[in-house]
Amino acid sequence: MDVDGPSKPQRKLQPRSPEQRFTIRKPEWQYLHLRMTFDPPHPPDHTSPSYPPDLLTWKTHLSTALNQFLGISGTAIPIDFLHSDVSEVYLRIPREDAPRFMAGITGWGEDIEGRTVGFRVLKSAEFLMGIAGGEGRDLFG
Amino acid sequence: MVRVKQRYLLFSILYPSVPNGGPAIPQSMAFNQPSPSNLTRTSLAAIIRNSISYNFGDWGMGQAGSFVVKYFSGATSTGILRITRENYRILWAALTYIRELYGQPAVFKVVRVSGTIRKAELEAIKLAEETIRRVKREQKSMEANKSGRGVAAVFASGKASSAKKPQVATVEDEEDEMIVDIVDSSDDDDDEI
Repeated sequence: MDVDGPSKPQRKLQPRSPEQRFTIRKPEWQYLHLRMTFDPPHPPDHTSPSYPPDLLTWKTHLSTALNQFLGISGTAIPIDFLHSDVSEVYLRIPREDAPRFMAGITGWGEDIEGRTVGFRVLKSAEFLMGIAGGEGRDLFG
Repeated sequence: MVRVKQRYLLFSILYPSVPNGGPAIPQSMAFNQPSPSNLTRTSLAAIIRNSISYNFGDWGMGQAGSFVVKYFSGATSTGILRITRENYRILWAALTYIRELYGQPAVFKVVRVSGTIRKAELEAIKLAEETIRRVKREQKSMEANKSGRGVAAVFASGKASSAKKPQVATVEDEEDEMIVDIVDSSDDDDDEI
């Protein structure tokens, strides 16, 4: 190995940027913020065994919608529920499945207990921060 | 004008279960046994549509529901499907996911994907000939085994010339019938859109 090559001191003299940059081109997940819509809507402060929907209800309805639009291959999309809040939910799915997933659930509607139930995509992002907060200011106090 | 590109899928149906109660037949003959008589071009199309709908839902039906059964022969359990080029994989997958026909275990094997029906037909003929050759060979080795020559006969079966004519006349008839069928099906061929 050539240790004392003439090029080595030269390379040392080259200015190096202290910062390193990289781009995540193909993230693994897509994060979604969904709302379950009811028509006619529930009155405020309404609670019943079926409202607000729990995570199992979410999973059932999402599976029904996906099964209708994409068949078995749609119900095979893995859904990770991250958080639920009244009739809204934060979840993540594999990024490649996101277009099919969103097309499947937004085109679905069904009469359940006298109300038409559907889904609305409130936010969709490749990173959790994209759907979780406003501008992320609260992160830094 | 832009030409609509098509794909032709040549498939054969294999039946992994041996019909019980009958005489001993070569295994490859049992595998390629004739399909149930109520399996026709229309009923086959309905079964495949069911599979597409079950596995790929409304979207799948929209993409691949427009396939056509160009040819199906129940005697040889072989057929040709036509589908637009973009969607042949969906149809292929749906075929693969079919596990039984009329309660009988069945496997759909896509033998060839072709851009013209002529190539698919030629492959079908080749497939039929190959099947007959294999059945004959197995028949010979079965007979040799019965007469006590054992394993040596299996290895020598390729050049055995003294063996009696095997009882596969029905299969040869099928071959004839099949070629005729194929010629018929190419008459109403409308792939040159």
